[in-house]
Amino acid sequence: MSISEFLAMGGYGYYVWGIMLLALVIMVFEPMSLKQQHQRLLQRIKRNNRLQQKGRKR
Amino acid sequence: MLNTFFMILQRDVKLALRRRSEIFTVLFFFIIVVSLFPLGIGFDEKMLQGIAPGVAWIAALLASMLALERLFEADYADGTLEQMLLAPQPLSVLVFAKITAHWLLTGLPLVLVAPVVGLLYHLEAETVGVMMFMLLLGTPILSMIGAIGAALTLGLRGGGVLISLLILPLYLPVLVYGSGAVYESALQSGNIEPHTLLLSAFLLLSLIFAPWATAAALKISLE
Amino acid sequence: MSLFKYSAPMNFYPLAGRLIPLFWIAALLLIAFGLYWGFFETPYVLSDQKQYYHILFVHVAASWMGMWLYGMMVFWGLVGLIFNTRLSFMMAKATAVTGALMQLIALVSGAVWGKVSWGTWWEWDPRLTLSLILMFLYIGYIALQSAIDDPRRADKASAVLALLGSAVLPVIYYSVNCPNPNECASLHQESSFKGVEFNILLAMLVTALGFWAYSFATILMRVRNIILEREINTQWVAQLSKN
Repeated sequence: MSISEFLAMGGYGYYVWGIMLLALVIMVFEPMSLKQQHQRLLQRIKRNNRLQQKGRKR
Repeated sequence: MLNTFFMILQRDVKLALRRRSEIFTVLFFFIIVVSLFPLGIGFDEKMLQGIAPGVAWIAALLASMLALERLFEADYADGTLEQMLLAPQPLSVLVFAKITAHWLLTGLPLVLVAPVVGLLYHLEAETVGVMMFMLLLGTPILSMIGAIGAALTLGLRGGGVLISLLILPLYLPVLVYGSGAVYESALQSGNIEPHTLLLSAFLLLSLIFAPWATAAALKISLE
Repeated sequence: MSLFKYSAPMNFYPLAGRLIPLFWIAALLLIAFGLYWGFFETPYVLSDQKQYYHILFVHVAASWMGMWLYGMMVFWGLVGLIFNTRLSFMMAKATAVTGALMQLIALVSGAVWGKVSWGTWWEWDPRLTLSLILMFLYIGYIALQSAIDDPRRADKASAVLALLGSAVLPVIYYSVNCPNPNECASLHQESSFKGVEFNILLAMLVTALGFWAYSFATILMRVRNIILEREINTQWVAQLSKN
């Protein structure tokens, strides 16, 4: 089964690969945005800690 | 228990009758929505008869959705709802009284105004009769399930639109069987007995569970 | 007290942290194997020579997950309402978005399946209609979650909504499958797996397992974020960023 045949998927290539692409995009974008959100939260925590330290030193 | 039910019912109806205009807003909304469709789709008689059941029911759904927000809003604003929570009687009885009052003021008028739809859509008297009967069965379900949505979205910004987003999917069985029955009797003149049984079963279920669920939702919203 | 230790967010957070990479590895392996098997090991020419059946792998996996995660959402909401444990509410909230995304993939692939097999993008076939309604239930749940600011009320209200949705769902299923009871011949659609060739079935199941592992990984990640957000000013969270 040559590559071009495989991609053509019996004439339904766009549909099959379109769906695969959609699933891939969603299943990559969701974890990435979660990771980002996680980093932002950790930074917020660090900032809170720094503010508390400064508060106590004075 | 029973006299508190009637006491709350009487109170709500009296309150609403003082601001009579609110009842007519729901009614006129129903009539306007119903008369929009022929202007939008066309005046061919056969086609109008075909879409009449669906249009009437969708207008009834939207009209009862519109009126839901007022179910708890006034009492929530002036604090009577908190008093109701503290009342010795079970909350679901009080809530059931409020829902019945709400239905009397919004659901029942829709049933009474159904002949107008029959007029606008060239429906025979028999079909209008079936439509009124189905609306009589269906609108209480709409009020009860809608009450749960109203209780959940109490005091939220954009509550009205939110309720429709939450509750419209849950209205689908009522829409399907309500308009199905009218369609069945209008065109195929088949028997509408199964539709009636299903709708009444749905009515009984919501009679049992909706007040209790609304009470639970109110307790959550007012905690 | 061994298991209940993890019902406290503080203990669950590191546990979830350890589980997430495992689920990610499982998801990648299973999906890769499932799709490989589906595309290369299944018979090249099917009886009706249609090559689009490959869509099924993603469609079946995603719609199973869409339904399964809605069930999980209702379950965690119910557990939260009964035991009043914050973590179960957090799990319910975390499940909603992944479930909605899975349902979205199921809907789009269902529509595409409709396009190739029935020729129209959208067909009011009971299965497609039901997955559209399930999508509305997800949207309603997420809308209510985000409309309420107080987390406690948001959790409980959306748990009640999810319960209500799951109670009405069977009735919706019946009314969509059999809108006209007079001529409603057979309510039970024969499960579409009877005549399916073994290899395709295997590929489908493995891909579905892969989607299940993926959902668990993302839900655990989101739950960790929710835990951090809600416990931002507790002591253990402050310690967290020290190491």
